[in-house]
Amino acid sequence: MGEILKMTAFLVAVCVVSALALALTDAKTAPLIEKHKKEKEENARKEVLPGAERFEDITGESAPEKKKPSLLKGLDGSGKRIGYVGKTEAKGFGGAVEVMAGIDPAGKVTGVKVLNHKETPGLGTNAVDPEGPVIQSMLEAGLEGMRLKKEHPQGKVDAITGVTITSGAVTEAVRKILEAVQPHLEQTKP
Amino acid sequence: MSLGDMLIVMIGAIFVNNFVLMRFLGICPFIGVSKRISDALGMGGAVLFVMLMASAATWPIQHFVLDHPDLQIGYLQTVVFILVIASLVQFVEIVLQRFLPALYDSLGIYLPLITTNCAIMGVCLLNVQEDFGFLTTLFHAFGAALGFTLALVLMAGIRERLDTADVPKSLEGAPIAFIVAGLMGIAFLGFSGMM
Amino acid sequence: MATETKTLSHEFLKGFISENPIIALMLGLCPTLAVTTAAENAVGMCGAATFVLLGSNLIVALLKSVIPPKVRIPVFIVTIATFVTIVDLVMNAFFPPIHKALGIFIPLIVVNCVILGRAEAFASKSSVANAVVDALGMGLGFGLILMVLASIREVLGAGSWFGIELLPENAKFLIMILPPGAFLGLGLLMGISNRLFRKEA
Repeated sequence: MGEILKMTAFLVAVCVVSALALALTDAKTAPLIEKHKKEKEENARKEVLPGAERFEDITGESAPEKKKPSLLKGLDGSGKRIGYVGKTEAKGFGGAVEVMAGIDPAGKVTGVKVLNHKETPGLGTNAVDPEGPVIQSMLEAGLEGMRLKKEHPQGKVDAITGVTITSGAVTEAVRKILEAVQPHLEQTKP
Repeated sequence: MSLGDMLIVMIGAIFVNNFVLMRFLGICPFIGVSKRISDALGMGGAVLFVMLMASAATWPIQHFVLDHPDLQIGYLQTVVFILVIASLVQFVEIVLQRFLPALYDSLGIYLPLITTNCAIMGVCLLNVQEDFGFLTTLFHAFGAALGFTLALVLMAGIRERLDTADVPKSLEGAPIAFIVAGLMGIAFLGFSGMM
Repeated sequence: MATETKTLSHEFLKGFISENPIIALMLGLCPTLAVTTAAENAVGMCGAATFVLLGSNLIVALLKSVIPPKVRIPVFIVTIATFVTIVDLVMNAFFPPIHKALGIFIPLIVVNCVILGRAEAFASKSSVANAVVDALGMGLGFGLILMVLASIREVLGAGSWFGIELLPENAKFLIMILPPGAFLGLGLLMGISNRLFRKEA
């Protein structure tokens, strides 16, 4: 009995020391990790909506469901509305493709950035490249044009041969963001 | 998630995201225990058992304890998960030995090896990463184990034939097994378009 | 004891060739295949794994006379898991891109058989000095193979090395950075190593 007690006590002691060491490490690292995350997000937003300096969350009263885009209004230094930034995901080849897009007050795309993806390196990565044909063809397009050229007559987006699924996923995500932005665009029509 | 979605997760885990050939989890048993089909099936059975139990055990711990907003102890995930898995395997071994000696005899030798099988820890971590619900987690674990078994059985089948083939001396054993796995992987890449 | 007559340098060097964890002992295969898509990632994994090995071997060797034998495996596991979590948090805070690239293979270091293996087979029976040196040798030997495989895969598959573009677009052999390429690469590497280092029986 004494042996079991000794073993258990030792094991518990080890666990306690471990937990303490980890709590300490976490305390030191968690703020940094959070900071990196926020900075990355903020930088991405400014990239897709040039000119914006701060953002207001306008996703809505209810907690965002996984499928609905999160939406922010972008304002410049003087508080003037520059446009909107939305973030959502669509199903790609290897999993969810997370996309952020900037929309100007007229409903046209100002910038697109793919934040997370698991698409095929070398092939799929061309479709998510901001300098690549897919995203470049999205700029200045609006809701009606946000479809793959080869699938819709009004489509403006180029798909890359052999990478239709990834190209389609990015398009789908931006489309969802454009749809979410529509009610806000109408609001401020003169 | 509908039943259909859950089945897709399961089938995805068997073919598209095969744990061994695509995710590189469970390689040590893949090379070590795939020389005969009967061994492969035995290991597969043990892994299925442990994966399901480990997933079922770690899910509530993650969602009700580690993720609890007031506790802020997410960083204990690694320590807690591995302890749960190691204890589970130990427990399963004792229970089997006592109550199902026949099953213990056939699975027995593989069980201790499973604690360090990264596929078990891997599936528990992925369940959390992919944010699956409880039922989906079980489907995922089931698929993962089936995919693992499939890869092992295929490899065993090939290796049983390789024994009589003329392999260059330097490549005998592990090297040729890896090359075969690479070729199998290329074949499995073909499943990618399935989803 | 016979082991004490081996020099420290022997304990350090054996991890590189004669008892290389990957090539000779066939341990730690999962991360070898998974993180060798880029040389940079290999360095990151080597650093993380060596840190954990050092910490674990050190603690185990220091406490070997105090740990009750029957609970030694759980104690080793908690120790290793603690160091793995520390590495995970530190990498996330200070090296986010590598942390992201290595993904779940950082927490999976906890089931890397090299580490538990060294704790059980060596550190629990050695002096602290030997244990530390063993950890360094094993960790760096592990890293050596990671680096070689990663370099081959990155150069052939992505045409770059540590991110520096080396080959033109058309010369890339894409399969090398996809999963099958990992198996092919490692198989060939092991075959070559057998040819070079094993004496014919």
